[in-house]
Amino acid sequence: MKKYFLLSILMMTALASTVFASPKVNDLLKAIDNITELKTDGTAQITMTQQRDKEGVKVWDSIYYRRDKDDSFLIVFTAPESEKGNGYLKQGDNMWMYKRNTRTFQHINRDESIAGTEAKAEDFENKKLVDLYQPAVDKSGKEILSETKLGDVPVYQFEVKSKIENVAYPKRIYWIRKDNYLPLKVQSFSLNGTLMQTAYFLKYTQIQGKYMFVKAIFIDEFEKAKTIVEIKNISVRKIEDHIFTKAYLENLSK
Amino acid sequence: MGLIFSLSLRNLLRQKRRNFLLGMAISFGMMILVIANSFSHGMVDVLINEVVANAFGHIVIDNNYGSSFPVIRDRQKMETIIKETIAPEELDEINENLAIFGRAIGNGEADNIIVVGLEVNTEQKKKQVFNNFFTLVEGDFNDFYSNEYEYPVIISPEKAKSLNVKLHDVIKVRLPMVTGQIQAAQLTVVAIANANNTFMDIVAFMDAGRVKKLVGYKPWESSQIQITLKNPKKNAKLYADQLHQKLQPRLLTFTGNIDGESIQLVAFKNDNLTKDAIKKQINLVAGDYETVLGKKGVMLNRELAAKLKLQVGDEFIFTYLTKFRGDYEEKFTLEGIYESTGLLNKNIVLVNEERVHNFYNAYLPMNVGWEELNNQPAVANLITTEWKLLPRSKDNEELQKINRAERKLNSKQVKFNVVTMYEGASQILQLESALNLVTAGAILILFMIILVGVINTLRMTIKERTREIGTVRAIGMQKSDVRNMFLMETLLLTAISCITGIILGIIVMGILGLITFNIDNALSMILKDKHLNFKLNPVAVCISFIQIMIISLVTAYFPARRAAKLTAVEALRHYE
Repeated sequence: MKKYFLLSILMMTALASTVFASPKVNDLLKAIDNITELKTDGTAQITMTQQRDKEGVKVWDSIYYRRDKDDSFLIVFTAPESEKGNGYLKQGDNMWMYKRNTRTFQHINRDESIAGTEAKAEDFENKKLVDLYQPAVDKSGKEILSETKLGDVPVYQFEVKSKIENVAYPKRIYWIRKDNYLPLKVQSFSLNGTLMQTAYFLKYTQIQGKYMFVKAIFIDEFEKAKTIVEIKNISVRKIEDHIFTKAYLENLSK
Repeated sequence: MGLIFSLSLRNLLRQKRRNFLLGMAISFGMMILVIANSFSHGMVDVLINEVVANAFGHIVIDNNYGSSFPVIRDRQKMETIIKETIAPEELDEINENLAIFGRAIGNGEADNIIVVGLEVNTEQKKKQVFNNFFTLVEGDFNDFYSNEYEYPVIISPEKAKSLNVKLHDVIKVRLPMVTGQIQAAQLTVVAIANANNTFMDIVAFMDAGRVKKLVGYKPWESSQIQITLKNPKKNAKLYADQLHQKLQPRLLTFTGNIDGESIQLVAFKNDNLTKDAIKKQINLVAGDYETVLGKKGVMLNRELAAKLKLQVGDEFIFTYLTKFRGDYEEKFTLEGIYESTGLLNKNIVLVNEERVHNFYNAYLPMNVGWEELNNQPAVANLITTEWKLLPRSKDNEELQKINRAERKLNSKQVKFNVVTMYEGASQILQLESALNLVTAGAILILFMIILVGVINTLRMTIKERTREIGTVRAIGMQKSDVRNMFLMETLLLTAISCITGIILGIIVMGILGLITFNIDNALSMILKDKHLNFKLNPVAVCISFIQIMIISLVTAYFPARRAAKLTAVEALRHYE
């Protein structure tokens, strides 16, 4: 009887440690991917407001079309006047920049800037965090993960390092909500560990059971510049094939 | 002849005012010609030899396609090829073009910056760079190598001003890395100096080794390679062609193992022609053609798959010995199993080239090639090459066309290109041609001055001296002597005027060259050390001189002949 009692205690302890243990970082990354991954087509209006010392405030308005099934997206700028009609088109592995003034398309790389902003073409691609990052570990080999509070919100705070070489920021620290795993704050670091960017995700909206941020602030810690990104008029209606073509982008400028 | 020479000289001096005015006109024309010619030569010299050659070398070996950074994975091999191709007495230097565009923050001021790596390995090079290339304003060039600072840099006074930094201040920079990651660093200003061309005002110069380390080049890797020759005009294209020949790639196939079983990896081409040929040579027993021939396609033959106990969808690790990084393991997913005969039925794994290019260059195999392919053209034709060697281009326009076409292909295969500055900077050479046209126009105007002036002067002279001609003819001077006397007069006048023009031109160029131009616009690119650069081309000046002499001789010949034809009686009878 005593033997069975001890066995039960042991089993209960094991079960409790499984149920109440902190999740693994990889599980959290998967959870973020899962809760933010939209599998439908998407259209939205994006406004980027950049505040930089001595340069004042600059605002970019654009329309963003995204279709993940064939890895395509299209960004068309509607403001400011100098950028109006310019666009970025991605079809599979090919990416072009369109200039309205010269009516020309130029092949660009994923790491090139979008309209001279801090945003890069690769930022608009649909990529899973688990494919890009892996848990960072401390000296004892333990994952750098803790439970804390961001303001009043209980969060998991964890550190990841890049899994592949061509990721802009080799190290990141995430603060994600404990209840639904939505990122609230992300710090991105350069290879030598300098803090380069802090992102605050202020507001999310729910679309077909998935979450998408609609307001975020990206602070360029290097230049102390601030970019507010606001996403409006989100639609998940199917996008016509002709949208992801050069001809469509050209016709918009006519 | 001596008598004719002295008579001609005396006659010239008799009509001082007229000859002086004509001589002045010729001198002025010659001066303009010398200045224009020297200016165009000087400008092209600055653009080609200071700007283009300094920035890109005389020959460039480039592989900058598909990423922001050129990375030549095996610098040693490339250097060996260069040294085997270019005669030592013709080779000046082999350098890397390390120029990283980034963002910098000084004391409250931000600005763009280009961090350029300087290879200063020898005393001679140090002398050349620090004595000739830079003019020190503040600081100490010796600190450039100091270990006291992590990243010591030399910047221009303009950059120091725009970033509001002084000597020993720190500049924070954000730079992209070879891999695409972002790097941040703190650079210490150890010297403020003017470089000898204004294009370099935006640059922060750092030791090349430190730049490479900062942006993530491995010790065995190199950026774009620049070759400087001792006699580029004569040899650049010749050596570029020879280097191009020697850079012919090998077939991309190498040995490794799967679970200890020796396997030959064969990278097949990702084009439709090759895919059709593969379909004819294999019979797919598991998987579908679209997937196995697609960009992630990986196939084994039935016997090997059975031996390795692998089925479609299974993952397996292919391990091979790399040249620089020990063993490397690549994880593949088996997409298809086929039946075939001959070479394709041996221990090989057939992989789409795009899948192989993903890892191949970062982890170069120790040995590339497969002896068994020697007599197997049907299989060899299916295999891609370790890199793509782009065709040599005749000018910049063709070069751009090739580059655009390659970017559109969007293949991950490394592309090598060999370009001389004469193709890469062909527009500058076209500019020299345009300037030479302007010079030719100046020559034409000068010819007109000579033509009209000489004809007019001779006409007047002959008219004035008709009775004199009669006298000299009466006392025995031959027709040919009379003609030669007039020709000699013209030649003397032209020669003296031209030499005066050349001397005046040199003086004016010297004076203009002393003026300092503090300009920041595009015009600054034609300046050398903020001064106009005149380069006297003695050969071109001699040719112009000879041309002018011939023209004046031809122009004078007919009036002189007419004067010589006068009979003594006829001439003496002349009265005005």
